[in-house]
Amino acid sequence: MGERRARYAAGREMIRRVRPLAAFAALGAIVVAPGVARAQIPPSSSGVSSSGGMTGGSGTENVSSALPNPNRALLQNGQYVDVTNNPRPLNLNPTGVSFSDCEQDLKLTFPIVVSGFNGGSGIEVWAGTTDCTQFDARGNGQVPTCWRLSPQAQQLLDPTTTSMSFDVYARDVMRYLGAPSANPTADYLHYDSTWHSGPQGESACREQQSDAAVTVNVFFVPIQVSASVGQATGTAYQYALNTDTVAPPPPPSVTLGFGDTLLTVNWVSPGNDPDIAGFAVWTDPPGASAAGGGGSCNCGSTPGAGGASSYVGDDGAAISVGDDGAASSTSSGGEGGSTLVCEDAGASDSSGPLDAAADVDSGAAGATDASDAQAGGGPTDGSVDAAGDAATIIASDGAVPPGCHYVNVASGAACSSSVLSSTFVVGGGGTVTADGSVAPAPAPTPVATTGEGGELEGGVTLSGGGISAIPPQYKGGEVDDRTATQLTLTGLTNGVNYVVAVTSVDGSGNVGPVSTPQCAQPQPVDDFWKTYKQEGGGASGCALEGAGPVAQMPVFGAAVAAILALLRRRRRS
Amino acid sequence: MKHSRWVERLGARKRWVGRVGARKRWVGRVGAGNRWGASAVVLAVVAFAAVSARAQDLELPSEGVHHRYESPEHFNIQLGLSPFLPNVDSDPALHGKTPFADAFGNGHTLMINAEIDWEALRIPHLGTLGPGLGIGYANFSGNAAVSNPTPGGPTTSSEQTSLEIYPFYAVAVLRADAFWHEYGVPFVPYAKIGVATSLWRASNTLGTSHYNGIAGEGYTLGTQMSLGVAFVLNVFDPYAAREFDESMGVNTTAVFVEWSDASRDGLLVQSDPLHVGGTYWTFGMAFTF
Repeated sequence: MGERRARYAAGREMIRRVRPLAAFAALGAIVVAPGVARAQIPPSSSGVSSSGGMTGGSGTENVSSALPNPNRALLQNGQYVDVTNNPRPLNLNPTGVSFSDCEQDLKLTFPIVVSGFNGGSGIEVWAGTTDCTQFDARGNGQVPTCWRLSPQAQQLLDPTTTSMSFDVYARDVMRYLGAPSANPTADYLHYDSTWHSGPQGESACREQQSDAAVTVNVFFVPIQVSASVGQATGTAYQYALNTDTVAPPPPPSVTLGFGDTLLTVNWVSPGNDPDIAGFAVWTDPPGASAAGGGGSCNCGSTPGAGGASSYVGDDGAAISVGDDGAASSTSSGGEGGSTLVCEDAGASDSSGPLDAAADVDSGAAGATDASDAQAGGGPTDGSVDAAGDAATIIASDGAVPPGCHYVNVASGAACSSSVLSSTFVVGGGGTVTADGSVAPAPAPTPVATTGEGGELEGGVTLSGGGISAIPPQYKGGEVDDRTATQLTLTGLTNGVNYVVAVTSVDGSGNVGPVSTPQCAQPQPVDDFWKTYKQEGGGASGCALEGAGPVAQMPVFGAAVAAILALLRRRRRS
Repeated sequence: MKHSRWVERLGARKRWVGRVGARKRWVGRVGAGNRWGASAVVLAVVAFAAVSARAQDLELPSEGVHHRYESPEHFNIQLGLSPFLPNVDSDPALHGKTPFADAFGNGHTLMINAEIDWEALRIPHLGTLGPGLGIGYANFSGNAAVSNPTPGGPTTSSEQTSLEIYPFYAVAVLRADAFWHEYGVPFVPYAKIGVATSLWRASNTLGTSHYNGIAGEGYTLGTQMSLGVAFVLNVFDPYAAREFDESMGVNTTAVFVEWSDASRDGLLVQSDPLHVGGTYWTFGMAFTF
């Protein structure tokens, strides 16, 4: 009897102990279950049965990343160089795709951790702005809204596989961003690993249709291979890429003022475009960072860092010096005419100081006589006469010598620079080269601004924005303030006509289309101090003259001390 | 009514009691021989006044408010604006030429200035005497002229040229506040005299101007003399004024107008100073605390 009672008591005690655990387990199941459901691939809406979801894919497949962000590498000199630790613009931090990244075909390497594969499924990589784990989004007989970033999954992963690495290329990511529906239905089955690096790959960098950043999600999806082919299974890994390959539109209006070796650039804000992070000001010929002399020939001066310096010849023709110190020249076409500015990478005037008869190296054209352009005389080949009034380009084929471009410094609409006009717009037009050089641009397609909008010349209506590919040495200054409306360019040369344009810059570092170019010429000015001294003013600043050591002591301080001493004496008395 | 008269009398004396507590010299007014006796009286008065202060407020809202308790008064601070035009072009070395007017015109600019005075010494039935330190800032700017304008072309550039002046001075200040404190007349005339210097800097868009290697910056010594009068605003709202005193320690709030002769001629120790002085009026507000 006692034994029965003891067993009964022990049973009750067990139930009492187990009850809280059971309740806790039930509560945990309620809390955890929704999270598990969110992380799993939802059932396909295509109607394709997966035979209980276990044929081919077990449903336990899990894909995750070994790192918070992928490693980055950029194409430099034909090889990818790891730039994982390079600083990034805020919009791209830590990972994103700017126009420059796309041009350089940024490679993102994802170290992936996998588990739960049973030999019936593999991993595919997809991109899109929709949920690419959905079969319909990846095709399935429908027009896909996602596009493939990796070959079709054929590698069947077994439980022994725990890690993988996938390379994702920026151009592939951007390929169908503008129009996913343009992705051929059949293409979702195929991935051309050479497409992004081919000549057509650059077109992907112009797929984005507006200047606002777009988030493209990259999906690493477990895909069933051996059965229910194409169906997703298990848990995918998703990474959000901030892509921004279109810069905002330029200021609708730019005005210039001049001063002694400087130009003041004022512009009207292009509107409250949230994509604008700042503005860049460009000059042609490029400005020097060091303060130049006034009005005379500073022949032989060392160019400042960061760009070519411009100098003025005796006849007023501007002479440029390349970054390497090599001489180049411009030819003035007379008042209101065009000027040929040459970025001469190879030639140098070895005869000493630069002069107005500096040469133009025609480079590949073969006309490379470094001494045949004589001031006042007619050049005989692909060189430029810098004698001012004889703006004659003589070339057998009449073409502009390589490395040269025209600058028209006439006021008004005629003010132009072919370099500063090297803009292509969203959706096509223009030519951008990957190495940063400026190919001869077709007639620039006007770009609508956010503030103006509307129909453009030629009947093209754009949402605004674009990209400029102006060589960096033409940048005169940049301001990282979206509300800025003014910038002063210094270190210029008096008497030289400059073509100036302004571009908007976004947070990803993209440079937008140029504003309508304006022309101005720095000139010597008389400020107050100069006028005062020239008119006989004798003040020379800080010196206490002719008063000896006593006067060198600050009289002001002594007087204050005397007053305080006097007051102190009065109080004591 | 009898109580009220006592309160009034005590209230009138209370101000002086406050000064007794703050400044020993007022103890001397009571009489050195009766110092301890006076102290006892003071304590009694303070205690009584504290008890009856509220009743006094209620019963005598319009009588002799400025004669009630005041916090100790040691300093005076002035904040002002002055239409200012320096006499740079009066430099004899210029021989009548006017580089300043050519660059900036003949219009005045608004100079901001501030001054703090220490009321170190109180002169009975007159006011206070003490040192004061002042500082100001004036800026003149314009567009620089084109050196060699072309016919029909612009004569001025977009480049800015400017002259900044920072006057500093140390003065002795005599402030005749007995009219206000003893007679309730809300005017406080004052006078200042002292030495001064003005730091100046000529600049353009690129920074400090230079001409033939000479930088356009320096200082000029001189003298400072001012005459002015302050109008005490306490009379308009004595209750608020007393609250301001009790909460912030500000005894009086006043507006003032002041004429100044700021001579900056080198003080006989500078041979070629930049004449950045001048005469000007100042308008502003003053606070004693």
